[in-house]
Amino acid sequence: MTDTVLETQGLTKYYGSTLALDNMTVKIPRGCICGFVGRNGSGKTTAIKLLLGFLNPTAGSSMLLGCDSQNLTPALRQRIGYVSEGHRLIRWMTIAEIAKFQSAFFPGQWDGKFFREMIEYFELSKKQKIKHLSTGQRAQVSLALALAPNPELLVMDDPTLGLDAAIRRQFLEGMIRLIMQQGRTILFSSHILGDVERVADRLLVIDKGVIRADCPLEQFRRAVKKVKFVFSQPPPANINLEGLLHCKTNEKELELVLVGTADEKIAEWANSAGAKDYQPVNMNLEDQFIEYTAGPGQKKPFSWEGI
Amino acid sequence: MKFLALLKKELRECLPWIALAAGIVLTFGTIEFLSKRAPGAAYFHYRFFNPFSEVDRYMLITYPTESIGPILTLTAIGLGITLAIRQFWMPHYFKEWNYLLHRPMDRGTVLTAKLLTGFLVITVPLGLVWTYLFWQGTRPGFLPVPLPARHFVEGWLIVTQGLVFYLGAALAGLSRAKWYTTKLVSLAFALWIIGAVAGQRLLVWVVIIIVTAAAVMLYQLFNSFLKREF
Repeated sequence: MTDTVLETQGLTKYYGSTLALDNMTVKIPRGCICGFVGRNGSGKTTAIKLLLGFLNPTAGSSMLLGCDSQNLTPALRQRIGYVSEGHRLIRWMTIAEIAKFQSAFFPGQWDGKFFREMIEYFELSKKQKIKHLSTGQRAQVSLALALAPNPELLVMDDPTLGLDAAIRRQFLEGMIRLIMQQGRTILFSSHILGDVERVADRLLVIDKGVIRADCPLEQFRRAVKKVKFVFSQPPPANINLEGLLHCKTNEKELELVLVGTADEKIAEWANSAGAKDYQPVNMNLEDQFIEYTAGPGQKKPFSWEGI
Repeated sequence: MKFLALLKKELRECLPWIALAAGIVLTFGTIEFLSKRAPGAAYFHYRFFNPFSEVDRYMLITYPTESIGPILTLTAIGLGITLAIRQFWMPHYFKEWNYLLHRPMDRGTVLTAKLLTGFLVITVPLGLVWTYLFWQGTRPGFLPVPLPARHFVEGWLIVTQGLVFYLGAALAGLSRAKWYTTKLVSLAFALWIIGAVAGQRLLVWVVIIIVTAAAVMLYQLFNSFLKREF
């Protein structure tokens, strides 16, 4: 058994002349819950489709469970659960019919009791037709279908897209905790940072097709900082501080967004620049993500090792 | 087991169209056979619109199979195109491909299940209805003039023209080109094949043309499906 469940090397995808994914190189270890975050159109779905072999890469390669994504065998697909974006299922089937259909592909592996429990947990009726379900209910059925064969790796493409807050919470907290207990590896994309913060232990940040961060969530939380400096005079124009992402000046105030800068270095710089006072600004993951991916010239990959 | 599950799903999706197509041919066919059973009716109809024309009533006798031909052709072609839309265009429109393809099964098997369903659904119901009508027509005393056996074979060959259109429309559905460029080329090819078939007097040539066209499009279909991005 390999310790890396998912690995990509220089994975690149062009749609015509449009670059959708640029040189994606990541490794996801076994047993982690990885939140794959990025804005709409940043390349999350493209990356996931490449990983699952639905798209052909323009360059580079990707491996899932030790096998090239382009040659995923039926035996390997049996070990990978997938929840597609928008939870597109077969519309005319009832929940019972789609469960029967799905179970036929996983003989000896399908956990019918687990599926029934999940459907009951979500308060759905097995007689309901897929086309009559709301997006949230379809998401719940999708998740139950993906989990019932007990996959080793679960890939979910924006599973909470279009769900209201209550269902999202129910979806995430109830089910992902259950998944965590069973030690599965999960990759789920989202643009709702609150969801990721709640359940993920690893973070992949993608922006305009470029992977900007691939690190444990806590490391990202520690590394991305915003510090507000107060000066008695206008702040200096040239800021020479390691890890500076971007800055904002407001008369005698200066706001710096930094990544991986040690507190001592910040204190040193504040003294040398003649700052009267400085204090860190509290940010949640969403703020950190926005600050981290905002600003010009942020395409340079940052080394997350050793932060 | 897995293949059977796919096959059942495909059959279920095609079921309304089978019923509709078989119903159309059966209804029009029965009406046509019954009207041809009594040549007096055709004579009365002729005389009503041509009161001063003299014609022997037996000159107005035609084979019912001849007038069913166009209906059978249109139904087979319509069914072929409809099934291709259901099987290859709609999953694209409803974005169902990813759900369907991510399962412990290779793409070729998924496509085989679809094509096998298409072939069965086009040939069996229409062919059976045609066979039933023909059998009715060959019963002693049912029609004033017995039906030639050639018409039976021709009917089945008409049904297989639906397959040509099915494959053409399926290929068009898998094509990523714009509709105004090469997307519909396969349908144009199917149309051209029908034209080529219509000009043939020898049934063996009709068989050869249809089989060749189907083989070419099948090959292309497998190539497109296995390499296509979803």
